[in-house]
Amino acid sequence: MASSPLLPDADRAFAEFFRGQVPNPWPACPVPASAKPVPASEGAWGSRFALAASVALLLGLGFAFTGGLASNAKMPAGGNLANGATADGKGLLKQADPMKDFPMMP
Amino acid sequence: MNAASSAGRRGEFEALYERHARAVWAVAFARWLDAETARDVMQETFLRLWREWESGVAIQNPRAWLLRVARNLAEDTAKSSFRRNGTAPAEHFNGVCSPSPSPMEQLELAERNARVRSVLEELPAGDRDILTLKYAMDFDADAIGEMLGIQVSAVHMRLSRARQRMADRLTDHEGGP
Repeated sequence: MASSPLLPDADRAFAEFFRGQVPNPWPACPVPASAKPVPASEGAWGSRFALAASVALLLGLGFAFTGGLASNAKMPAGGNLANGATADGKGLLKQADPMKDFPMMP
Repeated sequence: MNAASSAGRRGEFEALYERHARAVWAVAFARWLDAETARDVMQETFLRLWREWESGVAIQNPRAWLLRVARNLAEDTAKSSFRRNGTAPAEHFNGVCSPSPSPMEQLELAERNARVRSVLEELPAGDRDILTLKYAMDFDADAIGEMLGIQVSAVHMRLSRARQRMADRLTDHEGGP
């Protein structure tokens, strides 16, 4: 090789430059889309999990909703404004007469 | 491709990547002098190899095929980039990848690297190839000879001349290396 007093310095500069450019860490091997391993059961398990979660959510919401209605049905009698009322409104009118216990004015 | 042969191909693919990725990167880097572009070209080159396999093409000499495709891709990238950017280099061309403890040292290193880069850009492509393979990847003369398809004695001669040309041009630049 040709000798030059500059070469050791130049060598150092080259090495510094080139080695500074090399990716570190070295990039991993690219994964072709068609080569990605997909276990046979992976898709099935995924859909099963989604189905189970959906059913659980549906059941939970249904339970919460009907439970709420049931707790309303158990409300004490005094708390129900329409207690004893019937569809024709007689019970409602009867109960709603606030003056019935007061003496009538002549 | 069934599952077994696909797994086998995948193993072969990874082995080729381990063996030749650095040479492919070096070829792309020598054309562009840009690490990010070289990495993109390298990955695209290997993905094209996989697609060739998938389409049933038999590749007798994967290393030669990879290096040729990498050169072509790097050339195509250079042309398309030139159409986009003219002669302006990419913004990160003078980026410094090595860690630097102080701003002053970082500045000095950046200036030195910028000088090396500008000199490299003036050199013939063959010089850049051989300097990259030697200094970036530290390949020995046998390996470089195989990659470039030349005799070991020719590697020594080309490398010596390339180094001398680099050194001479660096002295022409202000301050030297």
